[in-house]
Amino acid sequence: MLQYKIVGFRIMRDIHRHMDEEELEQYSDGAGTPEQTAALETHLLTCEECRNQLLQTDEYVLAMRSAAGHERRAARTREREWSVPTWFPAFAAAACGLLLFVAVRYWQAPSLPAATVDLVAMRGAGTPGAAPAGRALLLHPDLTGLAASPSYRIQVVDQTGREVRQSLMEAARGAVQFTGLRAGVYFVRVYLPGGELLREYGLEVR
Amino acid sequence: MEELYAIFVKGVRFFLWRQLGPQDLDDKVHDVFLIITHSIQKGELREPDRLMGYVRTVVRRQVAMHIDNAVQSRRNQQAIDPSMTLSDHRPDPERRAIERENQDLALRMLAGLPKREREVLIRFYLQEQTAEQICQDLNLTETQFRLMKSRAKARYGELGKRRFAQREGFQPK
Repeated sequence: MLQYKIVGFRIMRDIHRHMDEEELEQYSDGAGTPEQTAALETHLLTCEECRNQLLQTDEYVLAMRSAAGHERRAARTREREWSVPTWFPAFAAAACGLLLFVAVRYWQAPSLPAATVDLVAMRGAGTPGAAPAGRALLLHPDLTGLAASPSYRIQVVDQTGREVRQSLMEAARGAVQFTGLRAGVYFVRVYLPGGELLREYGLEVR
Repeated sequence: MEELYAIFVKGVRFFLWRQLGPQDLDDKVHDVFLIITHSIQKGELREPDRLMGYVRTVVRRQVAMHIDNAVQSRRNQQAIDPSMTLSDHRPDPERRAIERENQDLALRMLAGLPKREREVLIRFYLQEQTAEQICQDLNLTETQFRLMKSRAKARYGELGKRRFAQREGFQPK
């Protein structure tokens, strides 16, 4: 009987007490003993403040569940996206080594000045101009007797007639520079800007 | 009677709205007050101290009865009519928008937390691990755990302060 009165007293005391955060979450979750639930619900019947708190807690718990699920899925996706294959470190190391080797070779290679080549018409028994392979070339075509023009188009073709270099040369400068060519026999052709072929020179690169 | 109604109407509406939704809410509230009034008139409720508990019990019984009726009627419909109408139980667009906003708020709040606190909340709200289990796994005291949860809720409240307006659904018209 005494026990009954004590429980009854506790319930009555709880009825008039505002719910704390833990109780709100427990109630929102449907957790808690039947006695606790009874006391909380009885309090909620007359306490507007706790009712509002409970609504907020309901919304908060729902939002947190949904956001936590979202966050966990996003984390899994990120892990999948960013997982590094087992071969990647070895591959990256090899690539870096190769890059370093090429860079060192490039920076150590002496940069030679362009080789100057005087080109003379190859008609008749003239010998073709000679130039070193793989080195920039500064070509000086002999323009004597050609139709006057402020500029000329210079084309370099290989033995099969395939164009390998092409540039515009100002007549006043009288020279044109090309990047290095591989060893072989080439022909340097001079055109008017309009397209008319004026002259052809032989060029041997070795 | 008027005083009884004034004291309990909001609470009763709240419970019925929370458990059963807004449909026929006024009728359900009316039924509850009818039952209570009859009981008082018949002298079934002599001790005023027990009034609050009694109101709660009546509301609970009404909720249980409505749920039971809904289950019965669904079962009967299923037996008779194979082409029964299916209700769309998804929340209405407004509710969905609110829930999406709330989720965004919670995501923002989670994103702003240290990894460990985020882990605690994910374990608690998503995996529904108990406080004891989380504290044990992550080497936390109960107070630390409560603090983390409480801070997170406060932060969420700050982010959505403007949005935490009272819902009017259960308020009497």
